[in-house]
Amino acid sequence: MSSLNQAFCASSGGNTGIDDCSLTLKNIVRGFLVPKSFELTAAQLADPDTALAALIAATKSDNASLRVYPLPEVVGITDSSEDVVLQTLGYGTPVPVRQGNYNLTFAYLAGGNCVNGALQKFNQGNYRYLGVDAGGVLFGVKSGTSLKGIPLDYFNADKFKFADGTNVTGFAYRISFKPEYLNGNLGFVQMDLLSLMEIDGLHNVVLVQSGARALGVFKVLAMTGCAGTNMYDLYDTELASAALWKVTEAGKDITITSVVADPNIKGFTITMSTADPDYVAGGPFFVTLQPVSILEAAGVVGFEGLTLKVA
Amino acid sequence: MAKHEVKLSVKNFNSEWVKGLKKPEFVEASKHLGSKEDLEAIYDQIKGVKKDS
Repeated sequence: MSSLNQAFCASSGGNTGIDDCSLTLKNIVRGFLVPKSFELTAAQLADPDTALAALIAATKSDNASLRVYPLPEVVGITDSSEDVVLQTLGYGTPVPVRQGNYNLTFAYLAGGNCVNGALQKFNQGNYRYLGVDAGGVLFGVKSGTSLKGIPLDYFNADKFKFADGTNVTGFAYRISFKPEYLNGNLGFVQMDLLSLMEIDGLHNVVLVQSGARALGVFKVLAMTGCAGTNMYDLYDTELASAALWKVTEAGKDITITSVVADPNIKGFTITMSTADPDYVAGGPFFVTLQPVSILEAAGVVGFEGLTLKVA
Repeated sequence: MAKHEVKLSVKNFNSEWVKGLKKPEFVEASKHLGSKEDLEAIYDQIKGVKKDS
């Protein structure tokens, strides 16, 4: 309740009794970039397996803006956090002005240039952060009874540093956030470290046109985004399905009549219905794979197709 | 280099599209994918035509 001319004074201090068991975070071994809306609810947190399943499911969301993005395993941390900012008054009395920001730089090796390039796409993004410590504690911000990501002032995947004969090629990303989000508002849940470390992000599928387009027919190769592995070798049967592909022309869906594996090129023959009222022979056509969940249901797990323009 | 043969299956095809066609139309539209016999067998499977034993 407010009263006239009565200043609001917060309770001074907090009780400092020490319980038998308390949390001390260990070194951070990985993190996740999560959207603002992402949360692990009390019901999900009640069981570590349920929380893990929810986290994994979010990494495979069909909607990229709702997706959780696993960050690579951390191999080193540089803590450049600001010290408490003090103002020294006229008679020499120092007064704390604010707690300095956390500024943490995480070094990593896994994924190399390919992952570094992917992470740099988040540099101007508005994501939050969930961390994992070496003891399997998943931590972020407590929001009511839910666990949410820590709001970041920024995320930045640094440009890589060249190997120099003494040091390997250096990859790192850095995060900055206000201490208020963690100090006094820390949210955490004990989970299985190995399970958290095994969560993998989605892999891009790059489609490449093979040969010239014929009337209503073209051929594509499906390659993994980083390694350039031909997916035909693993998924020739699964991907040879009309239900797993999508073709558009001028923004309208074009009926795919069949998708057949072509072992001679290690690719796929995609045939469209030239009788589709939206089909115009001139093209161009845009082909991609169906959403992540549909691919997963067909046994193609952990992939998202990029779009290829077929001229 | 020898050409590899492709074993066609029902899964390759958009069954809704197939159901809207007569068999000769389907075979004609898909002739670049396989033999007439294979395509007719696929058509019959999608249409649910049972072969006499």
